[in-house]
Amino acid sequence: MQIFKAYFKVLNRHKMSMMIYFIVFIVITLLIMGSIKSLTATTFSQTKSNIVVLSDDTPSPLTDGLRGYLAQNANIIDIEDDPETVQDALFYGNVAYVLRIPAGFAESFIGGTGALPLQKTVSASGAVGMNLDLLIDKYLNLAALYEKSLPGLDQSDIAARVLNDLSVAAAVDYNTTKQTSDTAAISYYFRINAYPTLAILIMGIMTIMITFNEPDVNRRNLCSPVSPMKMNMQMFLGNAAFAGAVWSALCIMTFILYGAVPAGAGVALLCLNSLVFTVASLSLGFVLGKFLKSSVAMAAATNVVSLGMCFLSGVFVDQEALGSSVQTIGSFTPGYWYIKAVNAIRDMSVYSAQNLRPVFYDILIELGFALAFVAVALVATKQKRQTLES
Amino acid sequence: MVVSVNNLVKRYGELIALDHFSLEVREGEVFGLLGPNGSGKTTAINCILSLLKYDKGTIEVFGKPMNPDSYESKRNIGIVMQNVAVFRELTVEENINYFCGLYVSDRQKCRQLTEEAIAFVGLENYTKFLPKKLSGGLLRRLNIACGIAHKPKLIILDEPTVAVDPQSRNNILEGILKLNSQGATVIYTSHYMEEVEQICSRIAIMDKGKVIASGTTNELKGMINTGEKITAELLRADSGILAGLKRLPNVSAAEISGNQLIVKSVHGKNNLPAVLEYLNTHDIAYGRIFCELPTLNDVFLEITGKELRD
Repeated sequence: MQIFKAYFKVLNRHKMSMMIYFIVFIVITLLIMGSIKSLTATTFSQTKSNIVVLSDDTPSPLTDGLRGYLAQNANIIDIEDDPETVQDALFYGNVAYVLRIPAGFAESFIGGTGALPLQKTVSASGAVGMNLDLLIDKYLNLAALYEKSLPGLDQSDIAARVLNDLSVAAAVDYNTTKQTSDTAAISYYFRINAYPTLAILIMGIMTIMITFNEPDVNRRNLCSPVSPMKMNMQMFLGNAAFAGAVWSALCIMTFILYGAVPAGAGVALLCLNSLVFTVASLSLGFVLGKFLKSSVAMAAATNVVSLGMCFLSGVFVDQEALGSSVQTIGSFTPGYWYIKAVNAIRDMSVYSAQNLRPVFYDILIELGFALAFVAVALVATKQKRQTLES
Repeated sequence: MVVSVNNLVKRYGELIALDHFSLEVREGEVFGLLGPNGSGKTTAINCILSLLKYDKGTIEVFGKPMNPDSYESKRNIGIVMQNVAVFRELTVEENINYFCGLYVSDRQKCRQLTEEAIAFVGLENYTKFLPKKLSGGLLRRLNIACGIAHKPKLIILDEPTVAVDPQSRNNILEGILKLNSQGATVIYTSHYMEEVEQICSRIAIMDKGKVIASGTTNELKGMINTGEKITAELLRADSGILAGLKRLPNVSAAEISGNQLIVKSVHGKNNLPAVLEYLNTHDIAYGRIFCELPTLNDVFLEITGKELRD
């Protein structure tokens, strides 16, 4: 097992280069995990805008009720009722909405002669104005409903009933299953995981290939009593052990970063998909190693291929956000199908045969890429050997 | 015979690299393959090692036909390539252990042989060094250690002293003789005639893929007409003396080149006294005077009409 042992000694000399990719991956993952947590922990908080309510009408229970209702949802600021002062307040952003109640508004509203229109002046922020419009409409529509439905109610009763109705709130609970939310979080990890898998395997395998295929070393090995078949078998075992170690390390990192992950079907599928992608990355490294001869070319190829494939296949940017032409190009890489499978697993709530079929289809395409890469590498090996012997 | 090659023909397209090349290497000898660059030495070695396919001929090693899966024969062959063939990522010790381990499966024995090889080439102080930290001479020694660590019966060294300083070269040559004295048969290729002459018991001279002469050093020198060459630096060159010199016993040619008088004799040695007496008798003043016995270069020159170093 000399070749198998030498395989890992050679890899050991290059461990720092590979560790860099691993560290970059961990940093990216931690950053993404942080951003996801901050998004989910405090997704919404209510704020109150500053508004001004100016009334030319005589005080009445209806307008007082409206003012009181608005005060529950906004900060009512008192300013001088002067056009210039009001405009300044709006211009400098001190207030976002100015409501003017015209004289005779309450009387016109209850008397059935047709309510006088309220006057409003809003700042450039349309969202605040729209929200306050909705609040005012809600109050007045409800008041109008009581006034028409129950004739004879005075303003105080109407205002009291409206405020009572508006104070009722429906409690809504947003329930998600624990497993689905875990799978969604871990799917981010497995998505980003494509980058170190590709980079580390391409670099590692190419390093080995370049070292062992160095013409003089290769010829020297061929002079030995170890048959090429035994050598290839040892190389294969080395590659398998290396790929297995990388895959295992990245899977173990899931547990380190996400704590006790329930071993559900989703996580198992993500691991299976990752394993197949590891095989595809291994084959890609193998075929690249057949064609590249120098360590400089190797470093360039590692970065170009791993980063290029990750960008094209939606590792760093959601596949949905990629243009159709980019997606078409990306579909010629195993990374695209890996990410597609990760997204499908993430969105899956029921693991039925029908739901799983597209995931296994994506995984099979990844395997197809792996086989294609190996086939190209074998053809290249045969041609190289014939050239060497002739 | 340890190695027997008969009528080997190897073509690279139109170019004939080996043209009915034949060779026989006997057990226990240091056999030299001498020839200029491009004469086919490395091609011949690669064919013997089954690294190259050939068009015609037969090769036997240890009495058995040699082919790519002659693993039993390969187990007893040590090869030191022309280029240093070691792993850049492995230390001196790891490299020797790796190549030794390809031949010796017993881990304990392999470790012992590795230590012996390190001591043999004098790399004890560099065992943990990576190859890139070694000088050219030390790197060549490592290359040799990787080739001989498993104590093979046949050692093939393909120009192991290329780009090596004189001191390291002498160390390498001494080492080869030591290996031979321990029982190994050695095939040594080089284009340095002095090296081949120094260590080889039999020599084959190659040119254009053919063996043009073979035998011991003396046998090879005996094949040519050139004998001793006497060179004298004259104070005043006078071509009138040439006719008299040519009449001296054994003298085949006499010529003046610049202020140098060159007298060549056909056979034998000790022709210097006669030349000196002639010069003294004719009152011809000279400065430095020296004589040289024929070299393998003279053999090559006389057979091919060109210098070995051309």
